[in-house]
Amino acid sequence: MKAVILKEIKHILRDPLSLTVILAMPVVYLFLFLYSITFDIRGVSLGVADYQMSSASRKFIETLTAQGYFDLKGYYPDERSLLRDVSSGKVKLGLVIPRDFDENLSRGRLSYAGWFEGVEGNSTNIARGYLFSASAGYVLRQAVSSGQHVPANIKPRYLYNPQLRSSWFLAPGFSAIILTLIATVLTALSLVREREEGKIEVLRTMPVNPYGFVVAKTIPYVVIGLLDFFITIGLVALLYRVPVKGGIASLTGFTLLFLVPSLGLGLVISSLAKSQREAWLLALATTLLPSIILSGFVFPVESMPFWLRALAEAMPARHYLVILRGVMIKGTSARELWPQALVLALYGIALVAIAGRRMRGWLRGE
Amino acid sequence: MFPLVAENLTKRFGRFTAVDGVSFRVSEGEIYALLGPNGAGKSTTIRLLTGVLKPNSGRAIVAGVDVAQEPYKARERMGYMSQLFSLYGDLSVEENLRFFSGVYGSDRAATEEAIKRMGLGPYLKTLVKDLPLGFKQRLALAAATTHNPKVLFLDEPTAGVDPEARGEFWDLVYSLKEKGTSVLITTHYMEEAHLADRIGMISAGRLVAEGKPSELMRAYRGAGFWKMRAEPINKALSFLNGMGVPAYASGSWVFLEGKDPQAILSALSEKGINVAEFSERTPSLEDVFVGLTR
Repeated sequence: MKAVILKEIKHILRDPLSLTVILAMPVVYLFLFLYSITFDIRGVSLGVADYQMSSASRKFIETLTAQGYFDLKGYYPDERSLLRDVSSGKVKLGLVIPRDFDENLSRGRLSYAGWFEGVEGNSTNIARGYLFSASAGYVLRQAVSSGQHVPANIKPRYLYNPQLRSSWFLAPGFSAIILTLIATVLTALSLVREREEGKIEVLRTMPVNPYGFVVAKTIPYVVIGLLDFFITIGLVALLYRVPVKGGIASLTGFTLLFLVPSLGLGLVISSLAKSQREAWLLALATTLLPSIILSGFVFPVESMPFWLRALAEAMPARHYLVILRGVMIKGTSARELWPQALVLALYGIALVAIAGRRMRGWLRGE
Repeated sequence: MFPLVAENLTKRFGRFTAVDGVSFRVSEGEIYALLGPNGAGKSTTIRLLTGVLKPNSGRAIVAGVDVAQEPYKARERMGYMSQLFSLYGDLSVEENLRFFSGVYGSDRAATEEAIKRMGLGPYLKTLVKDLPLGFKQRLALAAATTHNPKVLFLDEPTAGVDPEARGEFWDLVYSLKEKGTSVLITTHYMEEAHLADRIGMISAGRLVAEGKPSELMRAYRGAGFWKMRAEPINKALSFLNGMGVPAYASGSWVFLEGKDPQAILSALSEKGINVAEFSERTPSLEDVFVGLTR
């Protein structure tokens, strides 16, 4: 057992390039992901064709740009020239303020026409959200200042992510993805390599318990997986001020629980793949894509159609992500997360059992 | 007590019988060579003896331990080396030895001794992938013997190695034999088979002949092996082969095989081929082997 672990560590250290990639990849990807996938859009370019030209209309535009969500590119003499720039993409949002803007406003109605370029659905949606909430705010303020009766003023407060920062909910997901990928790919590769070069033939004639051998081989990768996990979580906590409210100990415990099915999957893959290339492809197909698309990392599982949702609920990464977000952002106690923990544990047991069955064959040569 | 015993070993894969009732015994310090063409069942026999495969019937006993019953106990007493060498190319000579001796639980002194015996001292820090083939082979042998096994299995260990390195390798095998290790070796090379104490010939899964090399050759004396000088030699050879008589040139001699020498001689003289010094010869191992497996 000790000899096998030491040998595996030497294999890893002997290949400094791979080692660097394993340790640096999470850091590099973390920055790429978090800077590129942010939903907090700022500075949407705005063009205005104002047919009213009143102080009220100017004030309305100022409200839009004041919070930095919209960036005023300029005023246009008429709707036609404005639309030309919206079509060409020079401005993403074109606002047309009609001649009767003031008149409508005095009756408590805000009137304008908004033209979005609308190529990127996601960012358009977000910009539309900003526009609507800014409009509503403006109307309310107008009503209050003119002494009108205001029926209700809804001000949402966000319990756990007060500023609704997307990095807070993306970062834990990112750690989950890196962890799955590293644990699954590395275990699969190291065992396939052992078999590809005919080493298994000799190991079979040696006094090694095949299961002990496999366990010993995976231990260094558990350590690497945890190391990567702490690097990413550490960076996320430091740079993005994502809290770890539930405590490091409970986070580590759940992470170990999540590593079991990931390693088990790696073992199953290594028993299926005939070459290192096949192992790579299988590992990527079964970990990276599902954990990005179906874990709720970016796309909310709640808005998926039923069948896809069922599939998503079947992904271990999905449950781990619920745990991570719970522990980090909400400070959910370990006791409350037992359903997710149970799912992970069941996955772990099932995958390790399948791997054990499949491996018995090739470890014993039958 | 024999350190290695095969008792009526039989292994079937579906309807195909790969090993069919093979029995033999190897004494302490004896080198036993299994000879046979590819697919005859040599490798399967070794896999049954090392416990990698379970026999359908029969037993394999290594150093008094039934291999199928207690594989781990038996494996502590055996060493195995194959033509693939099974070393880790990205690790150094020393690191490879550490791994193998660690798994076998060998002590440090035995490992040091293996390094010395195999002459690996100067290469300890070298990565295995940079090692010449002859040294890889020595390292593989060292890796299989740090635990002083009672029985050593060598599965085509010299395949692809030049004759000089092969000679050196056999010197090492002899040094293990002198220590009392029993060796089971499979090989393609006839001249290697001569170096073994005893030979077992395997054909279609059966052990068809067994004995010392000299005994085997003597036993087939008088079974129709001849030599002669012939003029012109090329014409003689092509004529004989055309008749279905096994014949080949060896130096200035023609070696041939046949039950009826008179008929062959008269046929040759009809063709105008001059024959001189026609006489019986002692068959080579190759002759015995080819004769048995034909």
